Amino acid sequence: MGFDTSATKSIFFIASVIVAVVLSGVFTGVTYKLSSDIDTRGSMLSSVLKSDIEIINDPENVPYNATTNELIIYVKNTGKNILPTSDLTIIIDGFVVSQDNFSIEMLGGYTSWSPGVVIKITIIESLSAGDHKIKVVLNNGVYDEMYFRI
Amino acid sequence: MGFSEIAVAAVLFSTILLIGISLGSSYFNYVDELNEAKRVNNEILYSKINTRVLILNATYYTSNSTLILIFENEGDIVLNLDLVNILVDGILIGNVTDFTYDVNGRNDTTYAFQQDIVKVQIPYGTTPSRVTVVADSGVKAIANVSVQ
Repeated sequence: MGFDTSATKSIFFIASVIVAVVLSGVFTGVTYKLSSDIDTRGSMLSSVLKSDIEIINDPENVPYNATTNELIIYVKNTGKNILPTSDLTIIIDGFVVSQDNFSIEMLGGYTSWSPGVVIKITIIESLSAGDHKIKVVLNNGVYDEMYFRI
Repeated sequence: MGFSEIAVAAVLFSTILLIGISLGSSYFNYVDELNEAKRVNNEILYSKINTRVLILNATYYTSNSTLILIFENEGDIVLNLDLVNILVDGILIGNVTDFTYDVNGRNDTTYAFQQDIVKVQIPYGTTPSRVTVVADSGVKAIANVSVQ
């Protein structure tokens, strides 16, 4: 085997190893991303399936102060997860209530919204006498809604 | 087969093996997590479907400003009285265990089993008209209050 043949073989060897390593790196990167996305998707679905809330107000007796426009809604965590209260969305009669117009209080001296714990949501919203609909939506899309009368 | 082909084949084979292991492990974790979540979801739904609270009597006694509330666990789920809420005239006033209560005459338990009757004495300043009992699962029972 001459020097020329050896050099050519060496160049082919190095080139093919480089190509294989680059391809391997690309595949590994894609796989890592895919694997991480599968984990995220699993956690999201798990969070949705384990979360549940219930508006526990008496629909015919919802506390509402017509002078201060304060509406009080009680929402119970009936799921199995601790829920965040920071990203709640409140929709009344199809309109989203601004974050500045409602406040949340944890009842019973609890510091987190654990299963069985009730939160009190005080909403400032001018409502006419009659029937209305309220929807409380969690950050993962789980919601409960209730028709009520003022 | 030359040395270079063997080296490339080894690199690609090990990459494919790693990809297989990584994706396989993620998939099985995903399926496990989903199965566990589905089990929990079934538990939540089962508990909602099988909870039934029946208010047998709600009477307000003006003589001692006390509301006596009597309800029965008519469902197939054990009620945890620590998590059973009471609303009077739409205002949440607390859980059953916040007041004087008994279960079938016993006050040494915080659970109401199937067909158990719970009696709660609630001191209340004004004459109420409606009372709501909310079970752990969020199922409600609403009744008018009679006054004596």
